[in-house]
Amino acid sequence: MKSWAKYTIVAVIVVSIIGAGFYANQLLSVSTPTQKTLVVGSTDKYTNMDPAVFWAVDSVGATPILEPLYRYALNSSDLEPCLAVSYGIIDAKTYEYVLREGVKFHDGTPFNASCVKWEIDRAKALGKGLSYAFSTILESVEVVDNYRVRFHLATAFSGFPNLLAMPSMGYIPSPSAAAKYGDDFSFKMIGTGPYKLQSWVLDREIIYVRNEEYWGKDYWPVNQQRPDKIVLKIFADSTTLKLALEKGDIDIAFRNIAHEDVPSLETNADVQEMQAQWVGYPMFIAFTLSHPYVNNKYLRKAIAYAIDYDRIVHVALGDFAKRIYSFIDPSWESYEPAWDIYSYNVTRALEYITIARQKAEQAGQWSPNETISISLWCDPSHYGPEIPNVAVIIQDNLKAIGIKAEIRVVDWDTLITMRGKSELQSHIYAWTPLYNDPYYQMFGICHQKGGGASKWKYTNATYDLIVNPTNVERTSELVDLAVKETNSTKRAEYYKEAQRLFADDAQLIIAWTRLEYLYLRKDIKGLVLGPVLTSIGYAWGATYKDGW
Amino acid sequence: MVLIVVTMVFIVMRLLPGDPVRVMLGPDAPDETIEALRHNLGLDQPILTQFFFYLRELVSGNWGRSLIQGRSVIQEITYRFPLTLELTLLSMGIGTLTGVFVGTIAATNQGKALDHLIRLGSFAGYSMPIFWVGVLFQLVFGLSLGLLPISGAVDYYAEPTRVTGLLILDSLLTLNGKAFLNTVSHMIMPSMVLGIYIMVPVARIMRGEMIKVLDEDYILTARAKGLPERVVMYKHAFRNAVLPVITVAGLHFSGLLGGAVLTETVFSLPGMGRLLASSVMLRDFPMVQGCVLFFALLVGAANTLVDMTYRFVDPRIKY
Repeated sequence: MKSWAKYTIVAVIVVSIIGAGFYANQLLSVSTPTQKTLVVGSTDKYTNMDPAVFWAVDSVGATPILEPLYRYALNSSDLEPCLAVSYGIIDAKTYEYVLREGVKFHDGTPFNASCVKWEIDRAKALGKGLSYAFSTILESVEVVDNYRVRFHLATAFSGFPNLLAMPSMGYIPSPSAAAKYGDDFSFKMIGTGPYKLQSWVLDREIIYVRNEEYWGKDYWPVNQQRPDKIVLKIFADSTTLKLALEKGDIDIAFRNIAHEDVPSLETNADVQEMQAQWVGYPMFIAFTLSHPYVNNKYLRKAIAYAIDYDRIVHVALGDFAKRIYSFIDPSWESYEPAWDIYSYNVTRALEYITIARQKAEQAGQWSPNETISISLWCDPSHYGPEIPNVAVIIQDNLKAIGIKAEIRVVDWDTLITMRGKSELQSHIYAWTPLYNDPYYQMFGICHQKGGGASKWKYTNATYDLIVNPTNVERTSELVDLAVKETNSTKRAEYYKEAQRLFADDAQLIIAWTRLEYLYLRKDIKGLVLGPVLTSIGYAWGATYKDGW
Repeated sequence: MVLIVVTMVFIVMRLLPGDPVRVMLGPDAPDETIEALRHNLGLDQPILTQFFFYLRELVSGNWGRSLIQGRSVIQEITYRFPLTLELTLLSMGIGTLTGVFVGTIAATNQGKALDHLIRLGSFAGYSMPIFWVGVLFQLVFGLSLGLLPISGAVDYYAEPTRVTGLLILDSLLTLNGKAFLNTVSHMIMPSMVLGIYIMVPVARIMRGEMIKVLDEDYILTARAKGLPERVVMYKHAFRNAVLPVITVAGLHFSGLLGGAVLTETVFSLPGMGRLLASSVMLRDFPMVQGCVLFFALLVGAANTLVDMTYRFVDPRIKY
């Protein structure tokens, strides 16, 4: 061997020994953190923490840091004071909030009425996220004094406090931070919440550290053993999430454990299961009424009676769902089980098929023995990998009554784009309330001017083969009455009647809602799952481990 | 070549069904809100106009901003790429070294049981999908034996100070032993999983080349001269047989980058593969264009590097 090679090898060995010796302590003792740390795992994708920009799951990531004027209590959908201590209704279109004094953002900036006005004006100007919901309802924000702010609505809206409690509408970040960080603001988010943002590595983890100057620490709702640090670890794959929980790398598997992985977790002595109580996805089959065949309400009713809902829930969805009878959550006062008129009944379905054919023939729509053929679109990427199985069951059900259904599977972006252009003859869809008031769904789905109704062409057609025009007009009228009504009982009655009329036209066939479960290590205590999904981010801070 | 790739990606992304503005605003946004944002983002312009503006900005070094996150594309790529590079290089290293070793063993035991076993095992490993092998590794080494971490590139409490973005290198540069151990333990499994896909072709090539070389006259001469078998094998045969391996390894570099997408998904590594995959799903045009452009430049550079490496391995080659 050449001498230079020998000397090189010797030098490498010597340096390695010295280096190993120098760092012997570190090399031999890989220590884990001694702080009280809660690790939550999720496969949800967090891309933005700016409340003026996000509209979906991102809000969960922002909840430990940011706060609204009024927030939902941990274990109910009641509003409780947060950054505001009270609010009053000046008139039907004016709300005044009295703000909490002495609150500071994590960067020391004082919180006051100007901050509220700044954020809402900023959100409206950006035109992203859910600013459109604000723009249609809220006209302006007025700073009355340092701790009083007035909201002037464009139209009377009795659900405004609920709207303002939702993250996309009401979270208030620090104006100083926005000015300081500019385009990076979302990733350096500063709020007033019980936790501060320590770091955020996209697709890896978000780390929150306890805010020792939190204004609410003296009356933290559950206990004082809360985590010093919360790590929200992002997984790309639900199987890896499950393995991490089993190994103990994470304390809570927030979302989404695949259904087929649940049996092994249920037999794991170190894991416990909790059922989520939050308002979920009301899933339904929607028809776009400008398309052939589905523009016949008798055919739609036939389909509604032909679907075996129990088979969908038990077989396709593995009992991770339950049958529902309205898109309004059953826990709300305005819930009406209007779709319970449609139960699985093949005889009834065939009767309606016969009527549909007769009416269509009279109207010159179809020829007598024409094969009825519809396309059924679905998206597993957003609603879960089981959705095509649901479509297969529906296809099978429709075959039994002589309807040929072609299943088309697309991704989420394609589905919503095509729906936006009214290109989907029928599709599986959901309409989750973005704030805890029925108006969002009622207006969107039932009102002629609503985003959903307009795309599904639920119009006041005079041609009553498509819809009952009386229903269409009256439904819109009821929604308009309800939004201004301050008496909750009366308001609920308006919404209930609207649901009954809307169900009669079967433009949507309400079917099921998902049941969500969280899985946590056995030593995790104190986690409260309320009816509002975004409260979970707040709930983590009240969770603790045995032995802390 | 790069311009062709950029053009193709630009056009294909805009021809794909789906609308990034609807993804940003949600499915229930009113049409007027969608159109207003589309106009603000310049996405209502004709494709050629958008392409012209894109090229103009590209030439001046501006690769755009993510439609979804709002971050600079270059910033995001430079932050995420080192992890993918680290994974790819480790996989190449592990896969190539293992492949060369295994191929040599197979060649020197040609026709024997060991040769057959090696060949069979290699093909079996190559046939198994990455995500399946990855999960298998996680189950065995991560969960059952508890030897290695299941996911991630480093634990948050052991992350080294960022110098290059290559975690193992940074831990060495900052003399952080804890971080070094932590990152190495995290990267072993994903590197091995991805390395299988270069190990097999390398082993095959190495085996074939060694068999061919061992039949050459100069090998016979070397043996006749009484040289030790070790010298015959590694000084004479190996150096001549390994040249094509360099080509194979270089050619597979781009394949490894592609395989990194699946590996990063299984092991939840926040690298460029995952970034590209999620950007495509979200129709984040600027990010997809930026990632693909970056990959195209990288593959070109890698191929050039492979060509230059020949010079050192075979002094007869001159450029």
